[in-house]
Amino acid sequence: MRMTTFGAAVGRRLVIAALVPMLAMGVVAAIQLSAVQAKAVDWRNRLMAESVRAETEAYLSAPLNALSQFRGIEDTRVVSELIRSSAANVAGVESIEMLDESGVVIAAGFGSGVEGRLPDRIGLDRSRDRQYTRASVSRRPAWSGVFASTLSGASSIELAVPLDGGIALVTMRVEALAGATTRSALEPDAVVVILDSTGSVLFHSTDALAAQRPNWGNIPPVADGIAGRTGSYRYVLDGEDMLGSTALIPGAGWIVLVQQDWRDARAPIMGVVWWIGIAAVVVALIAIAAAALFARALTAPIDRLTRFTGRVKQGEYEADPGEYHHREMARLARSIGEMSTAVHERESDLAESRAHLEQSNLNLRDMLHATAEAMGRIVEARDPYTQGHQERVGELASAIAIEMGLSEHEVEGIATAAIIHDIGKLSVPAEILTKPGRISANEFALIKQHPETGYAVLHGIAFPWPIAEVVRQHHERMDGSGYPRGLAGSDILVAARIIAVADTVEAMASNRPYRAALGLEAAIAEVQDDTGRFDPSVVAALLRLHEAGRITL
Amino acid sequence: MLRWVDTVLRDAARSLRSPASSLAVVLAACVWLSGCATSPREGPIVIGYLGGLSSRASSLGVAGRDGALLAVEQANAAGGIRGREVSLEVADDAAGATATVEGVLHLAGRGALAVIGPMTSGSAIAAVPVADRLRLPLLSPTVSTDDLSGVDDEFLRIYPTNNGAASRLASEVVSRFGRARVAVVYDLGNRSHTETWYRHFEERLERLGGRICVVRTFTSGRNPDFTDLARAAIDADSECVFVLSNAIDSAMLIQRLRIEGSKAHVVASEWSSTDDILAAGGRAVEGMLFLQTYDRASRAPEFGAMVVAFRKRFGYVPGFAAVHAYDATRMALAAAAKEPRRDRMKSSLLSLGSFPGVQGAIRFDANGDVEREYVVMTVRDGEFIRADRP
Repeated sequence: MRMTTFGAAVGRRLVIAALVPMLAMGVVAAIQLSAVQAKAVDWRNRLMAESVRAETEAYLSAPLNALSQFRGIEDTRVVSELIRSSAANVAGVESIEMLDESGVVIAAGFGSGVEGRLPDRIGLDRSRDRQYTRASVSRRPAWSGVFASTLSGASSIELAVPLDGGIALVTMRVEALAGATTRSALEPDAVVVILDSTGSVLFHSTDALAAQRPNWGNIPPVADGIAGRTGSYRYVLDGEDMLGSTALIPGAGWIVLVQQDWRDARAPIMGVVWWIGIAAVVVALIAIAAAALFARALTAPIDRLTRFTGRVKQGEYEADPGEYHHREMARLARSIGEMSTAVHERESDLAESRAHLEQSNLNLRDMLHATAEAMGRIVEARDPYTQGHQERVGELASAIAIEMGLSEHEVEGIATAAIIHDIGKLSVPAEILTKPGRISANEFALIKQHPETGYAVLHGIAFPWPIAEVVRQHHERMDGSGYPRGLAGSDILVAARIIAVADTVEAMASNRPYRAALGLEAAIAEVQDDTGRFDPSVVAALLRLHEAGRITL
Repeated sequence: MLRWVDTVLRDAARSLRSPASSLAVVLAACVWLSGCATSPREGPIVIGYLGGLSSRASSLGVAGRDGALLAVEQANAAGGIRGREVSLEVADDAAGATATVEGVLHLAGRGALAVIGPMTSGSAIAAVPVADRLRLPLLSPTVSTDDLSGVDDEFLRIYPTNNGAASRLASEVVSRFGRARVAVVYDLGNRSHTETWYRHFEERLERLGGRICVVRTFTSGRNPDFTDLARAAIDADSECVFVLSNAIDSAMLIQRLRIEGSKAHVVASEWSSTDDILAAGGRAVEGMLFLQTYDRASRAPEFGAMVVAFRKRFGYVPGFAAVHAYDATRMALAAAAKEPRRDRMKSSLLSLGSFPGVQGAIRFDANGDVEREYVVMTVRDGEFIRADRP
């Protein structure tokens, strides 16, 4: 399992806990603010359209206002004079012609700076002029589309205004609309387009485009404007995304369209999104830093507790867990402190019990030894010649076993078995044991029973070693020539083989009722020569002991 | 992208145990790939338009542009050409010869297969050498100059030459009014057009026994004295006045003629025959004659449908420039439908044979010029009607 530090885990969760709601809030804020900004951009665009509409209406109504003063005047000369002065004084006017009821020009005037020939105008039949026809039928002002003025060639429009008994035809320059639009509070990237009721461009901020007089009837805002609807639109014009708002000029039937390149118009919206994005990054960095600090503060008591438990582990049960501000940590520290005290007490109790037990063990072992020795002495008490035999065999066997590298426990077992190895002789009559001279075959048969008798006496006692079996085998020989069962080789326990050698050597080196002592040298030589019957490794150990001078019988 | 497709295919094939479904995936991918392989190179078919859009004479250029635009929009509404969208690239040549050359280069650069235009003779003379070099066919709806006739170049037109029209108008004058004394007033503002027109008219008229009694010129837009021009015609005791100018100037002159008391017949070329002359001419233009290349009052269903569609789209009644540009554009689209390659366009256009224009068949000669039937129109009750109809 992949492990992480508690501090890192806490820090990560703190960051997630802080960032997720904040990012969600940021996204919601970005969406909301973008929507608000988009609405504001739309509103600004619409306001511009309304402003241009108002200015354009003012521009168009200027000649209407000028002409209103004609009402009720019948003197042609006065009318002629008024027309001349109105034409010269109203901004953007190319010419004004006054038509009688049959559509013939009775008076005319030209705008300032416009070259015209008054005599050419008087008497012209304008009865088939479309604006004249419309105005005389409806008795309301009528506007034309854009055409090149016959006087100056400038892009112009014609306005027919019904007056008492006749119609005034006013030709006005479209370029003067630029003045009207510049008075509107326009944003630098806003483009003003004025279109007639068919969608043809009458005016465009870009002169060249206006001169081309394209028809925009198929772009959504203009199509809607033709149908009498206005609003804000997003649409594509010549492959560019545009934002545009429309307003209607009811009298003229014109549509005012103020459009902006959407990429420029939406700049404030994108600005908001950018700022929210930057704020989110900054807040995220702060959150990460704060989370790291918090995580460290939260994990500090855990580190202190870890150090405390480390000291307890080293045995410093009295160590102080320290003070903790948090209730949970204080409780944990107290629990660990109590646990440490409890462990300490239990450890002391255990040590005491073990000391008791060890003492009992020692006592028991001593008792075992003493008992074994006592048993040995009981056997030897019946045969003065063999007094001390078992004790010496025990010493020699122990020495051989140590020399052979056996464990302390095995050595102790061998020593114990050696001390009582002849216990079975209790069943052999004392006179046979002590009989000087040769003994009969029957007597020897009795003597040969002593290993089985020893086994029978001992096998019920639960020694920590196979004492009874060792005693039973101590007269067995490696070549199978021993008794009572004639075991051979590895069937004989190592302890029995060692005791066999030690018993033979000690017996030959000591006095017996039936012979004098042969001496240690002769005994060792005997065993050494008779390797078929004894375990060679035991004999080798004996020889090493002898050569080292460590055998004293 | 192929590598990516290959990876996707392998993954898909690996994940599908059954061979049948693997086969289906491969088949689907092949169908999709074949779609991908053909569509990206199929951009729109581009047709150019070259005309004066920004000057006093822009009415011709704008009308032609609108006619061409209507033809293109109708082609797109009908599913495009060979399934491809058609786009009309527009260039403005109003500023003179340099603008004309730049316009041709611009349209060639935008991949135009052919250019509808130019609309005026002066512009055509500047445009043809560049178009020849670029092997970009120019198909003019309205250019009438004789200078480009009878030459095997990239210039094609569906408008007759001055020579033919002027001769025909002179014949018409003589046949209607006898060996009349004719006063001629023409505009120097479009001099290359009007002077050759006048020369051909004079030549033919005099050959037929007519006589030019006075010739007066003016320059449009320079505040011409129409009273003076009218009096000159009256003073020369003319029986017929031939006006060669735009509609508004013609209307002004004819009005002055009538105001000054002239009862002379008035004739004019197609140049004057726009709605403007009806509006500005009032009752003075009643009965005047126009020599036209198309019948404004035609009851041909194709023409009627075109007029309705045009009026719905642009809000005004199409004149000769719009109608001819509409036909010229449809011819270019028909040629593009055969083989949408610029270097094949001219031969495709010439091999169109008899093309059904909205007012009858149009047929090129080997040099890309056109023979047309003329129509004599007059004004009655403020409407154009055919003069040869009761």
